[in-house]
Amino acid sequence: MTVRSTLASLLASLAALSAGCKQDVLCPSLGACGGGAPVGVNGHTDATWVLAPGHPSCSEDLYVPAVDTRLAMQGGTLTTGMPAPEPAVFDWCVLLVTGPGAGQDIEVAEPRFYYGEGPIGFATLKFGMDGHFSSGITRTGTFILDFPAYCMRAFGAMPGPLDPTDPNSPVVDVCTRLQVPLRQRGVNTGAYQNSVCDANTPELRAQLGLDGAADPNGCLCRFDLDETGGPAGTYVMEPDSTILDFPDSVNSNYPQRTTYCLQGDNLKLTGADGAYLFDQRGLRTLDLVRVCHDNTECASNNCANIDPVKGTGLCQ
Amino acid sequence: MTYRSLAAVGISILLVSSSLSTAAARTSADEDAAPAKKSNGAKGDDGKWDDDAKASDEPAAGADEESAPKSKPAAKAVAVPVDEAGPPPPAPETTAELGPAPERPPVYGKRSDWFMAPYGYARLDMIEDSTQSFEDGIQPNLIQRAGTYRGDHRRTIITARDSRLGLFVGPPEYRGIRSSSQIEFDFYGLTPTDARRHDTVVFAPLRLRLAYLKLETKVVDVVAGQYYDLFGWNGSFYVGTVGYLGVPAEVYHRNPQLRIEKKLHLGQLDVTVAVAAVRPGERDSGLPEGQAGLKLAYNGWTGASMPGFGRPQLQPLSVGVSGLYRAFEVPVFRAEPGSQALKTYGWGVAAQLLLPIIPVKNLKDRGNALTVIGEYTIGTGIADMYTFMDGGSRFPILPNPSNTTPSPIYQSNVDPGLVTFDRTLLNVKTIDWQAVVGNLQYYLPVDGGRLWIEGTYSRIWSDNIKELTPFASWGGIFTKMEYFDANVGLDITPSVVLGLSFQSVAQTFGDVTTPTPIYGAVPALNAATPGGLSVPGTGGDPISARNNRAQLSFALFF
Repeated sequence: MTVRSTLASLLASLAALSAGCKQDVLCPSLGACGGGAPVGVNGHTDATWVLAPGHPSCSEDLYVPAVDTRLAMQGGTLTTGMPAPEPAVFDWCVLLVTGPGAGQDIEVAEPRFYYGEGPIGFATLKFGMDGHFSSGITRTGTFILDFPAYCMRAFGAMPGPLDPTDPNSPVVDVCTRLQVPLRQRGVNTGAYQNSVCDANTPELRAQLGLDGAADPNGCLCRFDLDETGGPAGTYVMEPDSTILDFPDSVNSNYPQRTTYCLQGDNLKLTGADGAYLFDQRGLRTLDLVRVCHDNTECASNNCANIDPVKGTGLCQ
Repeated sequence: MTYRSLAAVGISILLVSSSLSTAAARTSADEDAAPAKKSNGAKGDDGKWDDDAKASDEPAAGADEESAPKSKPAAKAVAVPVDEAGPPPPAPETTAELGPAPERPPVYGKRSDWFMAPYGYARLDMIEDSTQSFEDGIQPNLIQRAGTYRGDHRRTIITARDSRLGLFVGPPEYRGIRSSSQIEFDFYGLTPTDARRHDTVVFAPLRLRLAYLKLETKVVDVVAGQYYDLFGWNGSFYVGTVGYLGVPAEVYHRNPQLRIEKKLHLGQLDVTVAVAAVRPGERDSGLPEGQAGLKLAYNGWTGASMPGFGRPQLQPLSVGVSGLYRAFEVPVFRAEPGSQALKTYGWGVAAQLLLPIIPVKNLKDRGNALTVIGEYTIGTGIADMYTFMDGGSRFPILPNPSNTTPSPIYQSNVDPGLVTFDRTLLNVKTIDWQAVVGNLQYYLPVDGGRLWIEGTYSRIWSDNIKELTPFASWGGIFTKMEYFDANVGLDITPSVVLGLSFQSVAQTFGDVTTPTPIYGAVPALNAATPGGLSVPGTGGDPISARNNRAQLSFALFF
């Protein structure tokens, strides 16, 4: 074996090794077969699409760190010679501070309704004949906020009457007291509903199917996520089975490309070249079906499951 | 560090290099004049200094074994870049009128009785990573996930920073005390946080690796200075790999220390017992770290073993056990802790084995040699022993009950990843780790073992890092890491080596996949939703990420 041949073979091996070893993405492309504009089957009307039953959207399992409130400096200024705070994991209390608040409110500082990556529960897309589109993408799920005993006790929160204005109001624990402002806070945001707080007992953990040790002086609060977003704007059909859309939002108007595959009443969308769909972090693919009012709006001529109230169904 | 500082460091390097060159040239001259003395000074009667060389991951001993052609590279090694330092000054003419060349007198004895040997290697690494997660070595940083930019795109690294330069010095024996010293550098010195990538790689400031003295007496040996940690018997059980040491899960660390060592020669069996007072894991604990170890080596059964991408060494069948104990003392978890402190303790136990399955008697004919190396460690508060590892653990953000601006900051006095505060926020807890490492080295029966293959598997995991991390940060820690590599190498000459390696490392994070929701309706609270509650870190599948690496390396050992 000569040195030259050895070197050549090693370099070739290096190139081969480095060619195909990327980690697999969770959401493979749904295809890019194209198939015309995703408008009405007659080509003259708008079309509305929703997630196909049993065909979930696909989002990558990303980690969205909770915002480090120290780095924002909250109006403070980081000057020369002033070291930036060392990296930290998040607050055990999820920013909640409890204490002797006003009235029945023991919440002094609101928690962050942290949920990491919420799955897409609903998605509605409308492509208009006038080149406009709109989207409604809803993240759903039930999530838990785990408040250790320290967070519930260290700053002065005490058991007390659920309604201080009612002399007959029963005395309840801090978890029940926390539930009141927490529920109201969630409703005010419009995205976090039905907050419920209970003591973090072994029984509750078993009921919820949670691992780990109980913390009876702490609280487990659950809330339903119902957060809708998604851009609207204009779109252009490009020749390579790609939709180029221009969102109208002041927050995000970066042109985005989406590869698509339209087959009959089914529309599959994939972010082009690894892009997230409609600026939804982690969202890679959507598998959609056409919304219909009657059979004529379906390529299959079969509009099924028509809701008697809304008057709409899904093409099958 | 500013550019002016960098320039100062560069000038210092040149001056040191010039000194080394001068010293080496003189040593060479002395060697020419008195080669017998050099031989005596280098090896002594019982070869203890050779043991020192073997204990390092440097090739000096191996190169000697290979009878590398003698040369005087040190005299050439000080070539000054003309574009950076200007033309070199004219060399002084050594004429009879000028007398002898200036020379610093030795501290004692004759200069020719002092053994001084520069050593090291020049190395090039060409690396292709499948993600943008790591610097040169596969350190236990968090691997970027699939679906992120850095997780989906490659990185190419070409660097010579892992080159080494060292100096071994042995004064003449004095009243029965044999002394020696070793100073060694690589080029991974700290760079300014705003340094450009170009500057970091190309300027490559020096980093101190070893700086110690050793006294050998008939009673005990003493090591004082920065040396390999006794915990894990660093230097004696390193795995063979083209990749960078330490591989994930391998104990690989150096520390300033005072070590007392006693070696007993019982026939073919060497028994080494050592204790050391080591730089503490946290200096503000106020206590040095204690390390102790016992090593057995049976010299009647030797094999070939290559530490990292070094030169193979003739190593006996060896077993080592060692431990460490360290203290932590941190302020209470408040912005203004007053004088209140919390204490806890960390410990670790390591067991290692070097087993020549197919033994060899000498390295010149190491073809068909097969050696296995194994390591198991367990401990708590010892993450730093695994080469920069912290698992992603940090202290939590301090609660802000008064809603002050800016937010209060906890002033920690210990490096991250060793201890943290639990959910009560009143107790400081150490983070547990366990690790296993296995390595196989085989020297093919081709031209005396010039062609070799190696493979490594390692795994490290923690059973409490997740429990000690707020759930909102579970995605930022890993609970388990697995690594394997496969390597092939060729000795182009006895001192020039070429290696090719494939390395793969995967991490399992603290968070898990989100359960699949019900489509078509918002799930009501406590409804029987498929997959259960969407609690971060609960109910789904573990999330992991993987980095694959191909590496081509060249090195010339001297």
